[in-house]
Parts: sequence; structure tokens; C-alpha cells
Amino acid sequence: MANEEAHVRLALRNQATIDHLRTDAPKYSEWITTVAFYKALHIVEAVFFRNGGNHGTDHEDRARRLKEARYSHIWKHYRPLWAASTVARYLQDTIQRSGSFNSFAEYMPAGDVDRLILNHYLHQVQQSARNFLSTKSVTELGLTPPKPKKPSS
Amino acid sequence: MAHDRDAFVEQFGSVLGRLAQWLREHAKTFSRAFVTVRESGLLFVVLRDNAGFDPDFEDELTDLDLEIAQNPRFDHIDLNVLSLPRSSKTAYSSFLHPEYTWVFQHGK
Repeated sequence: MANEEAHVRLALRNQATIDHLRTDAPKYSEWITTVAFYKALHIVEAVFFRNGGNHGTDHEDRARRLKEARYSHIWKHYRPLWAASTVARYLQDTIQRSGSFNSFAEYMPAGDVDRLILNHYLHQVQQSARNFLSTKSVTELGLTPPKPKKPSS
Repeated sequence: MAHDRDAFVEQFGSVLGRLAQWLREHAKTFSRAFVTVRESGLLFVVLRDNAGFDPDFEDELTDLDLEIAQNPRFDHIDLNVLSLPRSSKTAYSSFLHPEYTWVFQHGK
């Protein structure tokens, strides 16, 4: 069974894949979106492992746990990532109609994949998750460490 | 067991009412909506009226999702939410259970 460190390692491999695919972002926008979601998933699994030691078993189980109040800021940004990657992976429409889904690029142009998927949703998942990860994981993921809590008076 | 079933049936009716209310508030932005059965829960699928991703709509859908998940009145309901871009019936039907799917009509 993977642990926090293993999930962070997998998240970093996903990031390397994203970096590679971004060399031709318009061609691979649905794959960038999909890999960004899987990077977020591994970060979430690292969070779960560090805060209870067990993993999400499937999307529904992971969702159930992320909707708890303490993780809800992660969920707010993870859910749209999941939704966009679900469209990227599973929506195929062979009936071409104006104003309807014809391609992922029409649903989300490459510029929006950068702006929304990578620089907003994935970024926010990571920033929210750092509060639940070890210092080592935060450093390896290249995240700004969370501000230390003020001592109670 | 029977108590759990009764509680689920009652809460399911209430959650359908909440979803219908939310749809009325977003009537201009969707064409169809469904509640369908998934492997281990329910899925609220909103078919939007255009082909693009709308971050504001997604945020509002997530707020609804969290509201239902964190409401103790719906503690027997395991629901996720998903919006799809406007697409053909053949395409969006692959997200719906062939037997256990409830359809929302506009205005109802």
C-alpha cells in the first residue's frame, strides 16, 4: 500500500507529464486536464494517509471524505477538476451540432486549461492540502509552507 | 434497517425538492437535469445550454454539493454533482443509469 511519500512521488511524476504535454498544449489539452486531476488525486491521497492512514477506495468515497468541513476548501477546487477531467475522459459526441460539444478544445481552450485547470484549481488544491501534509511533502511539491499557527494566549 | 429505508425515502424526496429549487434559480443556464444511480451513490447531472466550461456555474454547483453533503437533514443521501456541456442524448446518456434515472423538466 502506498504511503504519503509514495503519493507525493506519483504527484510529481504527474507534474513531469504535465510539463511534457504542455510543450504542445493545444494538441493535448484533454490529457493535461486528466493528468492534472490525477496529480490532485495523489495529493488528496497523501493528505488522507497523513491524517488517518487509510486511502479513498473510489471517487465516491474520496468525495464523501473531502466534503467534510475540514477538507471542504480542497473539495471546492478538486470537484471542478474532476468534472473537467470526466468530460475529457468520457464525453464523446459523434453528432456534430453548432453550439454543442464537439471537442474538448471547444469545451475548454488550451489557454483556459492553463488559467483554470493548472493555475487555479490544481494550484488551490495544492495550497489547501499543504496544511495537512508533512513539511517534507510540502517542500518536495514546491509549495509555500503554511503560515505557523499563532500560539493561543 | 426499515427505519434507514424510511429515512432515505423521506430525505430523497426532500433532496429532489432542493435540487428542483436550485434548477429554477439557474433556469437560464441548463437544458436538462437528472438524478441517476451510480456504483455507490447518486449523481446529479446538469446538462448545460452551451458547449463551454463555466467556472462560475461550477462554483455554484460545488456550493450546492457541499450544502447537501453537510446538511444533517440529508445524512442518508450520498450525492455527487456533475455538469456536462450541451451534447446529444446519445452522448450524455452514457452518464445515466439506463433504469434508475429521474428527469427534471424545466419549471417543475
